[in-house]
Formats: sequence, C-alpha cells, structure tokens
Amino acid sequence: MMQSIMGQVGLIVLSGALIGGVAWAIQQPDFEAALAPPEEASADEMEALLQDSPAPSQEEVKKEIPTPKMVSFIDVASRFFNQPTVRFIDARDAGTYEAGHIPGALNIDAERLGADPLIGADLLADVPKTHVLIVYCSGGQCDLSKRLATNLIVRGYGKVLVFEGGWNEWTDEGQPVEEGPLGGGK
Amino acid sequence: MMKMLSHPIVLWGSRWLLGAVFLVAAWYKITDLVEFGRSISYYDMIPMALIPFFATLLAGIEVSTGLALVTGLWKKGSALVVSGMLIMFIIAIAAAYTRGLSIDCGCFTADLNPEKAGDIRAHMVERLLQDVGMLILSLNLFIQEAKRP
Repeated sequence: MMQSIMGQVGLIVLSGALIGGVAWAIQQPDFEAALAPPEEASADEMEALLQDSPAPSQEEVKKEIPTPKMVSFIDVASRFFNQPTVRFIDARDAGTYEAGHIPGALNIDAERLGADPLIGADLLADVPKTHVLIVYCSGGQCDLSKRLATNLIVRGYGKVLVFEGGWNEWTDEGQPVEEGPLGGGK
Repeated sequence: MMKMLSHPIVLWGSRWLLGAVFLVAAWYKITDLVEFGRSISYYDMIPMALIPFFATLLAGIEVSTGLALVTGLWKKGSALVVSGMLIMFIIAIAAAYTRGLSIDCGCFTADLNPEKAGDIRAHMVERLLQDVGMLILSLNLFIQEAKRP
C-alpha cells in the first residue's frame, strides 16, 4: 500500500513540475532582476552628492531613469543627518508620519502617487534641486520609498537616495524622533 | 466521533475545501512566478539561487494537488502531499514570526500594505491558525483514506 501512496505522490509532484514548467515557458520570468539586491551608493558617490554640484539634467534623466541607490543607517546617521543640504522625505501615510518621524522630515504619502504624481510639490517648492533627498518608509519589505524616490528623480531631484532600513531601523538604533503634523520644520 | 471523522460527507467536504483553497492560493502564484519568488525570498530561508526552481515547482504542485483533491484522483497521495505542504507552510510562517519578521506570507496575494507592520504580524498568526485547521482536516483525510484498501 505504501508503494501505491508513494506512486501517487510521485505522480502529483511530476504533474506539478509539468504545470510549473508550462507556466515558466509562458511567462519567461526574470527572477534575476526581481531578486537582485538593491545597489548601495558608494562613499565617493555620497560625498559627491553632498558637494554643491548640480543635479543631473532632465535630458540625462529622460535618457534613462536611474534606479535610486540605497544608503545604510550608518551613512544616514553619520553623514547625512543634520546636514543643511539634506532633506529627509517620509513616504508613509500622514497618520503614521504624525505618530513619529525622523526630525525635520517632510511627508509625501507615496500611496497617493498614482492619483497625483506631483504630490508634495508645495512642500518641495523651497527645496533646491541641488539638495540631497533621503527617502524612507517603514523599512524591510516596504517599497514606498523606492517608488517615491524614482518619482522624485523624474521630477528633477537628481540627488535622491533611499534609506532602506527606514523608520524601523532608525528607531531600533535609538535615534531622535519628532512627532506632529505634516511638514515638520527643519 | 470516530464514525463522524470517517463519514463520506466529511471526507468529501474536506477534500473539496482543501482543494478549493489550494487552487485559489495557487492561482496568484502560478500566474506570477516572479512575485511568488519575491514572497519566498522574504522568508530568508532558501538560497537566492534556488528560489526560481522552488517557486515554480511549489506553485505547480499546489495546482496539481488542488486538482487531485477536487477531482478525487490519487486520493491517498493528494491527502499526503497536502498535509506535507501544510506542515511546511506552518513551519515557515512560525519560523518567520518568531524571528520577528513582518512579511506578507505569500499565501494568497502579495498585496498587503507593508506599511502596517502590526497588521501583517496579526495576519501571519491568522494564516498560521488557518493552516493548522487545514492540517487537521488533511491528516484526518489521509488517515481515513489510508485505511481503505
């Protein structure tokens, strides 16, 4: 009897492999691109961003929209936090932002980008395009920061980095936080 | 009680329920292998190089198991496979939960709002309990089917 059960299991696995194979052949899935770890900005690139250099021109951006680079907590805390030419952008919704955010961060709810691709334009009006924007969300699995960072690059903010560890890593590391409504000052 | 567990309607209902759940769950996976692969990667349990193979095979086996359960084909084998898969899902979700991860389990869809980490952890517990409930059904199904000649 055991033999017959294992035979049935084998048939189920084999037919499953065939079904999966057909799905693979139809979809031609690009796992490599989907699972590739995000690229981190190098120390030289970060230093260059902090210099008073112009952001990439719109012509350059239009040729190929750059993928926003990642920045680690160490660099965020030691290199970018409290710098006059750096702005933090919180990509979470307004309620979550008001409950606590990185001091001085502006709030642009990336969930609403679909409805309004220019959301937050009023908040960014006085932020020079030569400034570095560091975008974050909760951290880990969240991708709002990456979506918003790409959107900001297209809008002409060429010096955009994503703090991948986001709010969770910031608070886990015991960094200062600020509570309050939209557009906390800096 | 024992009679109820082996009642044909209970066995038929268990097979249909498990089969339907597996087919619904398999739909998102088999139609978007990349997204399913990404969901598996969040568990951080399988080497990246094996994820494409694992995602494709797992999605395919979910379809074949669901079909076997619903159609009544390979009754003993499908009851054993569905139990094995549920045990694997329970271990994976429980391990992720105890490691403090807040991940979409990748069970049905990958459209949970990842910003609401608290919701996701509650959702993981919910899925874990559902899987345990289904495992009880599938183990009974396997035991009863195995008794038959």
